[in-house]
Amino acid sequence: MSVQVFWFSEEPYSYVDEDLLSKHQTESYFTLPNKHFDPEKAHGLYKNYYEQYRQADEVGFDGIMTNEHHNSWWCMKPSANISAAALISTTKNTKIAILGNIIPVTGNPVKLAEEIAMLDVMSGGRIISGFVRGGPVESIHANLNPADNMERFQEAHDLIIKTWTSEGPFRWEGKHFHHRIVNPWMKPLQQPHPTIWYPGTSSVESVVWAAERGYAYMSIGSTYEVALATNKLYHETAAKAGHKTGPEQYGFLIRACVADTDEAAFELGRHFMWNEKYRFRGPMEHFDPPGYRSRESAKVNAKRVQPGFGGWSYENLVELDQIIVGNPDTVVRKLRKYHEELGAGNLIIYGQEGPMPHRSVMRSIELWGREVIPALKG
Amino acid sequence: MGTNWKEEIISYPEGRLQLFKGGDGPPLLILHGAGGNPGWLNYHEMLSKSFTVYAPSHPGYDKSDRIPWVDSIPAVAHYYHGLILHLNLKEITLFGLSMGGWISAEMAAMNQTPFKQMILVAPVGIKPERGQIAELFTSPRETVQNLRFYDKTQVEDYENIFNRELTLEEQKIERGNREMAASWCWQPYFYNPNLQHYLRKVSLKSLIVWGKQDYIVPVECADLFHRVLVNSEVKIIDRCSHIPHAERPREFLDALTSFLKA
Repeated sequence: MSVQVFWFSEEPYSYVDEDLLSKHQTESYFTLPNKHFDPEKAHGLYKNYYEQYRQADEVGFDGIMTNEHHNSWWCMKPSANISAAALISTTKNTKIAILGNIIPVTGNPVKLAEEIAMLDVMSGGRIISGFVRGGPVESIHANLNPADNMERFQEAHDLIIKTWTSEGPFRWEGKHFHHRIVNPWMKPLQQPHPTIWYPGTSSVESVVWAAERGYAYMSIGSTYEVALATNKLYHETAAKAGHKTGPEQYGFLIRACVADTDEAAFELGRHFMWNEKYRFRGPMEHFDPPGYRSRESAKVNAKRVQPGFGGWSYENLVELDQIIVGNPDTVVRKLRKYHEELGAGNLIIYGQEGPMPHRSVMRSIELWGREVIPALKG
Repeated sequence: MGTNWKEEIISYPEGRLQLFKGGDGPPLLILHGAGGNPGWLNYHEMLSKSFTVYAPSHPGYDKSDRIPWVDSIPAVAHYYHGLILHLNLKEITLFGLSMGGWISAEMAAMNQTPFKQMILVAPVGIKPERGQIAELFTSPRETVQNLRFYDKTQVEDYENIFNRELTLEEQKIERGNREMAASWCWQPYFYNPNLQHYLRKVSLKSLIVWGKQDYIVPVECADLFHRVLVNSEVKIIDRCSHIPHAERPREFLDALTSFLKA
């Protein structure tokens, strides 16, 4: 079965350590003072991360995924499109999967449509365009009314698609967005528009939304068991709606690293737990602000939203194949579960985290390209 | 709690509206705060001895249907102007608490003809000049509860009324109420930058009641309302935060009584 393998890094600011977090991020997502950000150090980290991307391109990854988060020490990417633009000139062959643009928080979906079209034209059609609602904290960061998030997501999506697919000029008078003249000169190279991805963790609504529109669904933070269920639901819903089904329409994001020996990989993989327990710490209200989840989808008895690894240990996660580490043979064997049994035609390798030594990550990427990816595809 | 009242569901105009109604006399319209309609309380009972009290749940709140066009505080005010025409109410005493006070002020500014007088209890709607309106939407429930009261031991039956475990149905309602408050008040945060200017033309006899230690809406706002409402008086209640009727019930009822008698 054909499989497409993507490289992904959050581009963390890896100098944030447990000491700092235990002082400042015990109660709230928003309280680690940004005076602890050192731009010189960040510059050095970007150099490493882009060297890793260049290597991923050269050794044969099919794509690189990028994303956007705000107020986060664990992801230094406040703009997915700026990240994608930098990736275009860093790489020659890989697809660039933007997963994604946080379209409800933009005030101007037409500009977003232009930017993504520009990226597609500049890259020679290498863009995959993901659309996301953003985490609740992204709404709070932008001071966007969380109760408007879903409506704005839908309307921004409809406007972007129309901008790409309809002849201009046209007028748009929606509820949240108003444009007297939509007629951007820049249109995507891929016709009618770049492939669209939609990510989710477990919400049924997300799976159905993607499937009904024929967009590929990427499972970006669920267990294998949950992924089996969303995969089934996705394909049933897509088939019912008359859209194509198949492995290329489903993807799975997994933390994974390769080293020359299983032992070395196991030690390297410990970095996946970097500050994990602090990453989503804060009151429920930061992750579930009023109106962000629809009344229908809200599980009202859920006292705490539990993103992340839910308190499991590294050893448990490795045992359960939620984190995959090993020499090339081990990793190939373990990943078959995801692309052969689950049927994910896209594997997004979350391959770098926290203070993983740059040299080890470079070696891991080399092994992915030289041994793992050819074996997965063979 | 008296028996001089009933709960109704009326159909108006695009959806069902939950209404607590009781008493005899000229109409008094109570508009509740961002948290939701608390039902028939002691002050409703007291007021119902001299008034016909109407205490509706705002659209989208509690058992009232959500109405798509009612998407801002001025829209709520337009909605209630429609309701009072529909119910043919005149010479109304308008009574708003917190967010309901903001709705009341917008209604008075739109058209004061149907109203006889107005009581505003710690209303939002005007941006404080020195302090800030407390963060409610992204703060933990416990934090907000602590801000609502100066001294919880003053609150009769606090644990049972304000701090008990909610049933699933009540949680669902509370969730919906929070969603409505956010959709109307998220930005600007609980105020209308034009409201002060609109209120200058309101000549209604008005009472502004405020807790001296209001941790949610700073007491300085009492003066900001008083400055623009030309026919208003202010009553500040000491040892009291944002819920005077629960925290200082005697002083609260005295303030209402003396204003309404005058």
